[in-house]
Amino acid sequence: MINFFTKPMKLMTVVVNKTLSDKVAQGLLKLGVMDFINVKDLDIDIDLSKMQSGNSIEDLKEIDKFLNQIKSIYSQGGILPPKVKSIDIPENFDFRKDECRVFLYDISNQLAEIKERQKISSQKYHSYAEMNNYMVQGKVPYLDIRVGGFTKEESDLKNKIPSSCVFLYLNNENSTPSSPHILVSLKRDGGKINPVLDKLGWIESDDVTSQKESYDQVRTALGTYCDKLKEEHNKIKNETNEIVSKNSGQMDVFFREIQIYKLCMKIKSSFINTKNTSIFSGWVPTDKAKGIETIVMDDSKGQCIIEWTEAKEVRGVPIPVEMDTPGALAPFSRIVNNFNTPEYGSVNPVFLTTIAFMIMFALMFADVGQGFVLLLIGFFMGRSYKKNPMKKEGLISSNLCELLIYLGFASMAGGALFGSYFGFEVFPPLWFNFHGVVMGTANDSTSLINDVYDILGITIKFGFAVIVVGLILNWINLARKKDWVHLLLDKYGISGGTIFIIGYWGANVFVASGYKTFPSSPLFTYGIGIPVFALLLKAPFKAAINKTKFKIDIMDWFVDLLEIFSGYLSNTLSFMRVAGLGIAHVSLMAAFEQMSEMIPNLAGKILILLIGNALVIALEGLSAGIQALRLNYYEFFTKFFTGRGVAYKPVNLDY
Amino acid sequence: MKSALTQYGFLNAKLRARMANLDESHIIDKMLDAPTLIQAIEVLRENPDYKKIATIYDESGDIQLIEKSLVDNEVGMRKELSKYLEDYAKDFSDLLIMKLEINNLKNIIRIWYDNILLGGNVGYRMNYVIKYKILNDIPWEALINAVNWEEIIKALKDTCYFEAVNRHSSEDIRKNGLVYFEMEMDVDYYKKLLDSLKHMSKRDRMVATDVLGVDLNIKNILNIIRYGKYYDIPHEKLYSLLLPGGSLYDSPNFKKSFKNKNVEEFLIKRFSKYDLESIMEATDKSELLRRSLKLEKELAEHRKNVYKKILRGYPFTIGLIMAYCFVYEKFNNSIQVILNGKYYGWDRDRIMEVV
Repeated sequence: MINFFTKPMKLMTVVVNKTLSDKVAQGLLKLGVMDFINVKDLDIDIDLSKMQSGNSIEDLKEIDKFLNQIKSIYSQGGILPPKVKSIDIPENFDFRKDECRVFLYDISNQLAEIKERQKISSQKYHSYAEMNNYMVQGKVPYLDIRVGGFTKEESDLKNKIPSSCVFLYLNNENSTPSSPHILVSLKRDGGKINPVLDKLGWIESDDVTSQKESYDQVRTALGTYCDKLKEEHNKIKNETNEIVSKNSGQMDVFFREIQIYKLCMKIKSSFINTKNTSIFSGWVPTDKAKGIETIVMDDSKGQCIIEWTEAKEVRGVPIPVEMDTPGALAPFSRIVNNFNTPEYGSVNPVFLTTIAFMIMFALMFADVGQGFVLLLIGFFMGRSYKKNPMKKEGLISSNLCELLIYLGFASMAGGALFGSYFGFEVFPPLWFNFHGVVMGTANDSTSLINDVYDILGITIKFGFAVIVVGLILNWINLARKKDWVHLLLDKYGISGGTIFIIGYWGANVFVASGYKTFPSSPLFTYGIGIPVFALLLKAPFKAAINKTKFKIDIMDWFVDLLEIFSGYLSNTLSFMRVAGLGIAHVSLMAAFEQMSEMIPNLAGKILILLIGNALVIALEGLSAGIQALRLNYYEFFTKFFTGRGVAYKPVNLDY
Repeated sequence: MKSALTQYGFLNAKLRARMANLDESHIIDKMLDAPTLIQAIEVLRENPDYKKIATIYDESGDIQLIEKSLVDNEVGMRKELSKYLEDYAKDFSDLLIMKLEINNLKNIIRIWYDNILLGGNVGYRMNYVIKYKILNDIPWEALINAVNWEEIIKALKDTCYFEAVNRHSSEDIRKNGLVYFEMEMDVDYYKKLLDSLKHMSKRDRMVATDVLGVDLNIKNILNIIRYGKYYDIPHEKLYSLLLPGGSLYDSPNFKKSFKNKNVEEFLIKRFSKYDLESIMEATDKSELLRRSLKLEKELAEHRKNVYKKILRGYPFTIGLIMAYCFVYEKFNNSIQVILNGKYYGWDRDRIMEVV
């Protein structure tokens, strides 16, 4: 069943036989639902100051070193570490620290050795590539190309020539040392090469034909040699991947062990110990209470004492907030979390945010065709992220892809309502012809929306509805908190809200009368007057509750009133941006349509329309998204979302 | 001429954000903590600005290529800064780019010297120098492939560095090494830099003079120790090679102390908060080097504090550009030191000494 409020929590405090605390920690990790607190923070009557904590920071640091080392090896091999699941926690878990250390040391050494060879090969390649570049670019003066032979019969001649010199046999690979050779080197290395050649009895050939032939041969040979070096270099580079994948099986085992061990240590760092017992405490969602109790009882073989405390009875530690939101609404959960965490016990804002965000986007970016493009982008890019977890997150991130699917649907729905299909009216609109109204071409006499002002009116009404929903949510939250003063006498409470609602009605009547009169009904006068004076009572009521000195804070009251009148007005008018964006969308599409009409040929027309649609999708889509976000954050959330909550962070395998 | 706010307003926000990013990324700490070179590289991979560097290592396994890439980044960064600036600020910023050009030129000539004159097997190091245009059109390839000093002079004929190289003959270089040449290059550069201050607004000139003054004092103290004590360059010659500016150089007593050949006593007295006495008393060269390194560290800390002070002060000045270049350069140097330290298996403390 969907819970429209944050999940109810309970505080679990356990005293367990110390010898079984490891086992209990593993069990807690397996279940992964406890958000641990520092027992010393609890308002209890026992002196805990002399009790020791379960694990030191140094222990955790040491394990982090293991984790970083193994992660870096995975990264070198271009593979992701495995995801650890609760099934990976065996019955009698143990981390083989020494074996792991030896294993990682061994692989690290192998990788370091490969890197060293890679470096040498890279240097060699760059040296020859430089010669090759000079050859290709005709900068021969930087090179020494020698044709000749050796007068001394030396074995292993190739290795006696300095490595910065390319050694070739002229025409024949099977020649003897005295047959013609070509030696290519950089002129700047001559100082080191010449003495060696003298020692080997090098004699320059005076055969002009050989000299001429050598140039072409060197050119080809250098290119081939560079390709060969590059290939060799890549081969060495691939050895890293081979080593990592060859060892990945064992690495996965150790990675899981390290992860589990680290998390168990993390859990145990929340324990405090006496000589024979371990004590820990943490928050658990009420629906998980039974499960965790069974686990603790089983793992401690019943040698434990468990105490449950209701959230409302706990003092001194914040109650974490967990929202029971369906996974499908994850993109909107992220939007809410990005803003802040709601207070414990308040309304879960995700559901209403989903609805408000999608309606706002649909109104600003209403087009079936363009919405479908967004949907396709979201779907296919999202799929490619899922298929390739190593893929770098681009401008359109995997999270954005999920959101785009929703926004694509919203945009398509909006497009169907307003009859817009890539800017054209392919099917009649289900509501009214937005495009026609903006361009002044709509001729539906039955429609209530006939000009831009009517569109602006719709968005103001929409804004009013959003703000009222926000206020109602605030009243629900305050009533649940039993904060009666703010519920009745705050600017976002019933008093402020009544002023807004009655004021909105008054403003409508004023506009309808041609900006001449406000409603004459006493409801208008009392509806505004009573709350205005009621707000004056906020300070005395607060003083009475807090048992402080009685006071009437005129300044506070005056500022509140100013904020109510100016704030609500600007908040409501702010929703006109929805109409503004919608109108801009239509105008842009119309502009591209007119531009395409100026092009005589069909291909040109299509090209203009394609570019136009692409631009509108990119620019308008982005601004509609940003404006929808802004309206949610600043006009909707500010009415009920205090953001004073603390997120629920249980220690589990995703920690 | 643009107002200070228009000139530096945008850059101020941009550079401060970047500096905060560098600070908050804790790259240096994490790299120092990494037990192996490969893990230190992984730290770089986690940061989008340095990810490319990790890829270079994946491709080549060569930390010298990483060092080159860091210099490339620095050139790119300074060029980017220059694009945002106008008038004298742009000229000054171009001079900051010129410093990197001079470093590259010195580097090439050092490799040339080791390779050609000393016969070392270091020609491959030419693959790690910059060969593209940094600020001026320098024929890098001709320089890289020069086989004698005359070819270096010829290659630099149509550049602003011609005079600096042409002052030295092949024989001078062979006899004295590159010390005088490099010091003169620095002198020329700082003259240009100090010259550029004349065109600045009053506030910019004050800030730049303060910062450069500290920089010049530090460099001059270290040069006196390094070249006077370590290389035993005669006093008269040494004075002509000092960088022209800063409160130390401009002080008449300093000049007098050189004449009276008691500059060491003068420095000990003037900079009493540093333990210069122990350095001046060192007879053993390795001991002198060790103590100088300690002093260098203290002076570097002092310079760091000067830049910190700038960042705390009025935000719309040229000081911000100087501070950013300093922070960025220091950051990149630290990365280079750590990578080299990890490569040679140094422990954290030893690397920290150099960082």
